[in-house]
Amino acid sequence: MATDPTPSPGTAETIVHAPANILATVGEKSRSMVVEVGSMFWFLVNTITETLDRMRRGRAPFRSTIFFGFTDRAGVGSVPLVAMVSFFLGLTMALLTGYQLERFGTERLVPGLVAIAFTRELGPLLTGIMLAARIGASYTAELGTMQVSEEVEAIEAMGIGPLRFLVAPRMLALFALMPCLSLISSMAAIFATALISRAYFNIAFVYFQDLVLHSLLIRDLVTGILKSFMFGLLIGAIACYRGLTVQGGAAGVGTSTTSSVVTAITVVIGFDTLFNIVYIVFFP
Amino acid sequence: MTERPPHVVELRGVKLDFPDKRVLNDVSLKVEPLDRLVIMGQSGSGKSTILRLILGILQPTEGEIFFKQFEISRLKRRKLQQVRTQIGMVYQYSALLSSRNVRDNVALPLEELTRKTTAEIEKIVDEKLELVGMIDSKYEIPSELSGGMRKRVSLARALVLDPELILFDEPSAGLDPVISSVIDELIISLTERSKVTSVIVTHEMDSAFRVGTRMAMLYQGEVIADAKPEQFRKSDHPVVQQFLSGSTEGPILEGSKDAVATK
Repeated sequence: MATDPTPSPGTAETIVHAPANILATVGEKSRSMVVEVGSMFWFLVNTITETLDRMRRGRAPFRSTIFFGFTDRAGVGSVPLVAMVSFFLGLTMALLTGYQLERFGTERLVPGLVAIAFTRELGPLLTGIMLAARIGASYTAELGTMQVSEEVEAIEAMGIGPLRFLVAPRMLALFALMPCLSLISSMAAIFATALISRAYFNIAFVYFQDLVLHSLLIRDLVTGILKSFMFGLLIGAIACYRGLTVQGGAAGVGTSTTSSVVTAITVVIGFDTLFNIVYIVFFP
Repeated sequence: MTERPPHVVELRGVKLDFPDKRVLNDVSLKVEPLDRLVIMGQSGSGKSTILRLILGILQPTEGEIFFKQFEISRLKRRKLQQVRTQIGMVYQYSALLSSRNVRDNVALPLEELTRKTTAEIEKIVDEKLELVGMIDSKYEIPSELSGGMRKRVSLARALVLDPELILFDEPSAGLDPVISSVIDELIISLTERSKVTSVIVTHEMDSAFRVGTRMAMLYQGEVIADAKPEQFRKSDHPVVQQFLSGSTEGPILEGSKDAVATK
């Protein structure tokens, strides 16, 4: 009679093997993560070379109408959401910090605090998270459905590079629009802070403007914008990669969309942390 | 250097392994100019895989695949994309871009791969849609069309770059017998009129004999018969005979899971 090779939980044997099993699982997971990162990197490289290839032959990489369609959807369409969320967050932040600082009579620091926090950090980060959910998810679902219904293969079979035709315009739209949106986010938050400062802390708009301009450095703005470009590229690449690698029909599209949003948000926050560490170490 | 084969398509000793099984085991086939080669076989026997190999979407594990003088499996991406423009493919479920209307679907290869003006593109699109009888549905989107209509649009899209070879994956799948005959006749008339060679994958006998000028039978990853239709019908190979008669008695079901249903 055949015996069950896996010992039941709680036996001496399971306990002895437990560390090895955990190690094996961790190893397996890290290995697949490295493979995933590698293929995502090549995906990005191939998209760029395929697009440059086309340009070298003297052709536009994609039709401008297609590109502007994506910028409209990713950029213009996201303005209300980004502005509203940032406005509310700016209000909250100004109120909370203001009440604390008021005890020390330093509420004049609020405008500068919110302005620096948003231009350098929260603006790009919030926009990144919102765009990963709003646009990243739609890219993955759209490309995933095309993949499942053989549309991507049909495009490839016609001799059209699917990376150049499908991925490049989407990625470029996010790349180009992300800094604009994070600027809108910062402006909305600063505007909210101006309202709170006027209403609760008696800081006149003109004085508020002076305080903000005095505390903001060009460096903060540039850091925020550079980060935004990178976030746009990362979200676009992750979303399109997940979409084109969908397997397993409708359920696969669902799983990939979830995974796309989760991965993009995690990567955006992770990259932001890494960027800050490097930035502080090299440009203290 | 490998010598140039005088055929439109040639497969030499092609083997293809998927991680869990061998799909093709030493397949050799030649397609002469203006042939309409029908590849038959059971579902899942690797028929459609052959079409994907010819297009270079899949790479063979072993063997060589030629389209004219090009060895498909060795071409670099850019060259492969150029070669693909000479091959049209009609997918089983049409694979039209669902977010574009009929006109945009048919115009896509022209817009992306040629330098033609909008007026020229419009003229060619109208001409091809006229050929397949779909000009009245020019501005409809694929979801508004029936299966047969989608297939016709797909055929127009495959014809739009005037290819030398057209591949059909199950052209009559999911269509009623009448529409299926319409599609078959369309395939015959268009390939004759446009002087195109074609490879058709199907498991429907009536359609196969109507369309084919040559037939090949794929069984367990190998080509077990390759002949003109009348000789093919007379083949004494037991698998071919069973396939032609559709009988449950014979070698095809031996050891197969499908055999359970016949017990």
